[in-house]
Amino acid sequence: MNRKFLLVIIGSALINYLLRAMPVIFKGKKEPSNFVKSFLEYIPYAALGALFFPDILYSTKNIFISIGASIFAGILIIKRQNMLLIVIGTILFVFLTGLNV
Amino acid sequence: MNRNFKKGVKEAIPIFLGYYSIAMTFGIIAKTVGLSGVYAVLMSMTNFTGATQFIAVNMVTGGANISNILITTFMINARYLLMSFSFSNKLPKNLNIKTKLMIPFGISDEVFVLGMTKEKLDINFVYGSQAISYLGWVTGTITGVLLANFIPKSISEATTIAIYIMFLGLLLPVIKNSKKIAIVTGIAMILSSLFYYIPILNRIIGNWRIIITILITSSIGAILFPIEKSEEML
Repeated sequence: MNRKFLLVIIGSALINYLLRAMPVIFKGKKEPSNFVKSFLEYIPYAALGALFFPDILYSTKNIFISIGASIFAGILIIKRQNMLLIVIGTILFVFLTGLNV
Repeated sequence: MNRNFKKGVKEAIPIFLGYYSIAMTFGIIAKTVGLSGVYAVLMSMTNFTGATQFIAVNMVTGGANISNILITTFMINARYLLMSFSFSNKLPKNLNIKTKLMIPFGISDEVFVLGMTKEKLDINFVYGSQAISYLGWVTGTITGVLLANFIPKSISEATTIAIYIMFLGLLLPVIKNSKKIAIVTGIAMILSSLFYYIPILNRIIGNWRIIITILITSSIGAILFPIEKSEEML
């Protein structure tokens, strides 16, 4: 798994750098169409949505723990708490609810 | 030290704080799902991206194949083409080649946002803001990787949900403010589920579920809910 991870690291490093560097190195004049802009801007959210669900349901040993943990985390996120604390808190939530199952 | 460089550092301190915290979470998650801490730090040092680092870790541990992961990375970060375009318009003309090669590396999401608040960008200001942001991202990752060693084994099993919580943390604040993005995200979740649960679709699409969902969803979004000039982030 770590070998795959290393290859991904190198590959994505190159990809990210090229994506960021091309417009700076080859300065273009034309601004892309509204469709292209909207398309590219939506991609990250489409990706996050696709990766999040339904996979999160199976990320713990019990679907209900996953749902409960998501609601727990969701409330804290909306209340703008610190993400690191939310992640730690949710891990504890899953751990504690998992003790009885 | 150059005055503009210092100004860049100072204005990017909030970025440093945010990045340190998120990178720490990245380091902790990477270690607890079984990946090498050294590689996690290497990833932060060579990629300097936020969401895509988490997504890459998620896909690696999920067993996706490399081309799948890299294609997904490419798609999610294709927006940097637009962001770099807008960013470079604010830079001085006639930059030397070394600058043109170095500056793009540091155009992360928050560095971009900071840059866009200015009418014009001074090179040293950009370098300053990038340096402190990068420092936060890398040291945060190192801290997270080291801290992960203190997590007891019994809790390790419960950490698998952490990445999904990070995804939620990236989604919810934006969904709250934008109905369009909320709808698009919803469509993605529905499509992803259809491709997951319906046996024929699952068999045909398999590993390409994420990529195909992204393509279809973003197209629907761009056609039905184009982002207006006033709502643009890019």
